[in-house]
Amino acid sequence: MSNNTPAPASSDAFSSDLLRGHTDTIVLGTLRDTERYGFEIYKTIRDATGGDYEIKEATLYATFRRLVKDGLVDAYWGDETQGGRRKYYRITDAGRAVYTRNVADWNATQRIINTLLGTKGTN
Amino acid sequence: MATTDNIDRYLDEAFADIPRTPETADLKEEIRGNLQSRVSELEADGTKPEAAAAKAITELGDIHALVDSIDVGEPATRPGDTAARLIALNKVKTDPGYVVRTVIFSLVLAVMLAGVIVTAAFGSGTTGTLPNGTEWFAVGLSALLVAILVVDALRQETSQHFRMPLRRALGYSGAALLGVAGLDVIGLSIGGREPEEAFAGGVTAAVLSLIAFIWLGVTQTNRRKPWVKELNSTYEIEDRFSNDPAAAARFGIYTVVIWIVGIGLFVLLSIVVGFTWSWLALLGALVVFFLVLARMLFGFDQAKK
Repeated sequence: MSNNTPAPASSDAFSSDLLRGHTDTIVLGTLRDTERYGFEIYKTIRDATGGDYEIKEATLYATFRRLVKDGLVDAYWGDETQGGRRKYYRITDAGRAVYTRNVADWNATQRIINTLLGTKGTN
Repeated sequence: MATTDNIDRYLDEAFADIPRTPETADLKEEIRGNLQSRVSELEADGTKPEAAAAKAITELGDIHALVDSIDVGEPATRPGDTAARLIALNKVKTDPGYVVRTVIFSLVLAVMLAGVIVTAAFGSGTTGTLPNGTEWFAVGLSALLVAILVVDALRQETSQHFRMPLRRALGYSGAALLGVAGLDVIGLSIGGREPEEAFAGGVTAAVLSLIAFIWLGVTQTNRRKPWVKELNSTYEIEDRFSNDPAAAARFGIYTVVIWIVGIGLFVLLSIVVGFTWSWLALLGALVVFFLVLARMLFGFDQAKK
């Protein structure tokens, strides 16, 4: 879905690379309260940032498979009888633990980086 | 629907030169569902169907890049590997409501049937204190519960099976209802709680049920999902007897010995203590037979390697 959005330039107000490193945690976050299928997850992330950030679909499909392989989410087919069948993802207890830990790690890292970026040195 | 056609045609073309593994097939189906959702979203926003399909496909980007970004899975080396992968990829979630319903109905059903069996085995004296009409309530309720259990189970989509069309499921359900009601009545008649006319009715119902089951069984078409069919056609028999004929021959000899001893004991006990207890020899032989079978067929995976 990135084809019709401008290519990320250095003037973007955020670093796509930094965001991409947190895709797993972001996806786990969207699954905390309810199970969702692929497009729903994509939409949730897109709408949450007001369209500022669109995750590449290829990245998402790879992420889903990695999370399933690591046991952080369960995947199963919904039983829709008409229209396209949907593959649903549900966070597991292991996934919740990893999500909580990653968020805590990020908060700690963020504090340290903010402090370091503001440091001029005392000598 | 034109938009669905577009998506399907596009996916078929895009996946044409991609090796077909369970993983790529799974990815293709998942993309299909997501594309359709995106198209619905665009149409809801006012985009024309054709344009919506084209836009959704463009947004998806290059399929090859997408396939490269996932682990497409290696060719299976052992049949068990394929099976485990296929099962994981095709999992359908069980409806918790269905499980709860089934457990509750089964418990009630067990109580009803236990009552009928006790009546049949020990005579109406055991249940004679119950008011008249209770047995008809038990017959009706147990038959109805079986019918509900059957239709409910057949209407569930599982990982391996599609759900059964409602009319056919009701057919199985009706046949089961007739069968259980018939057997209930036969049991109650044997126990002396019902007159002989009821016994004849019970037999008729049971026979009709049997005919219905045979008809349904003969006309039954495939209900399994494509991946199960594929798995079954490629699955090699891996049990011990197929791989180790000597073990199969040894098992054959054990079987003969077990049954000679069992039948010999049965005859001996029948003469000495009578039929009341002699059947235990046959039961014992059956138990030993199955233990030996289990032990020999599945017990030596480590030793084989």
